[in-house]
Amino acid sequence: MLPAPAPNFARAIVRRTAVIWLMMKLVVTGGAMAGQEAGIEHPLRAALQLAPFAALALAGLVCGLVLLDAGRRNELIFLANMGVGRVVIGALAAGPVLLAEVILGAAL
Amino acid sequence: MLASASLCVYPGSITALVGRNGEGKSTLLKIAAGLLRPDYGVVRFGEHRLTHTRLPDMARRGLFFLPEHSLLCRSLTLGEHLAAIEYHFGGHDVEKAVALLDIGSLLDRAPHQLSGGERRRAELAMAVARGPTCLLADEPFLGIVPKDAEFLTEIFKQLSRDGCAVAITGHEVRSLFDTADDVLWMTAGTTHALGTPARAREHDQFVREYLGFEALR
Repeated sequence: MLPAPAPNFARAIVRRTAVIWLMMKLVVTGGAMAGQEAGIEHPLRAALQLAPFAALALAGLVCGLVLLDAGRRNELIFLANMGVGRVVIGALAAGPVLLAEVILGAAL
Repeated sequence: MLASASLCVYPGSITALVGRNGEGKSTLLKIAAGLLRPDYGVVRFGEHRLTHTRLPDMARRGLFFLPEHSLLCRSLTLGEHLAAIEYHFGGHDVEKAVALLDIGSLLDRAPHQLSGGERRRAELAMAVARGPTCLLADEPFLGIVPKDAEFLTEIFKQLSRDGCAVAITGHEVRSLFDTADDVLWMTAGTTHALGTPARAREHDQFVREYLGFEALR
């Protein structure tokens, strides 16, 4: 009777995080490309390979946006009723962003 | 907002929390649920005495909170909500909840496709599916037709008979008094235990300041 398998909220939140992170990365990259046109050396590379502080700030921002979006979709209280707190949701958002930043940083 | 308020709900009983708008009914319920933190005071849940409560912790202990606004996530169908509860807590009560709340035909619908009454039934179905030891419902009768209110009343009573401690707030005196075993009146940031609904109707100050004499006719 019920749809199967059970919805995987973690996967949904990580997917949403990826979209928000990608959008923000595009904004950062766009800004950097404008900087490149202005003659700043390797700004695109700098945008993709953010320094630790900038990467942390980006992760925090993405985390905040994901939490805000979860609140807008009534997910926060629903998940809280299932024993899942904001910290877990925040970690689900911030974790992949930091991981992606580390991977990008190492690859470039 | 709250001066000296206390809310006691016991297994197998239903407490109705009534009072004018802005007196702090929802605030008290949210403090009990762990959504708000009081300046001082404690929350007792079973044997546990808690000074810092959070809804996820309370939920793991067996509490379920029904907010005044919708509990349903915009991006999921009702069936997916129930599947999530089944996934987290086991599926013993999910089939029962679907049958009890008569929502079998609504499982494929998204929240925006439900009427106010259907939405409330769906939210209560989630509470039944969870099988909570304590249910806190903020204004569950708000904006629904009398027939649906009657239906919800029976579900609250069923939960109570199953041993759940239930607290509900609202202004729909008839539905609340039909449902509740005890009435708690909130005024000026203070709670007053009025006893059974019948005794509450005999409380002069409560009738004069909140209920109105029309309600007694």
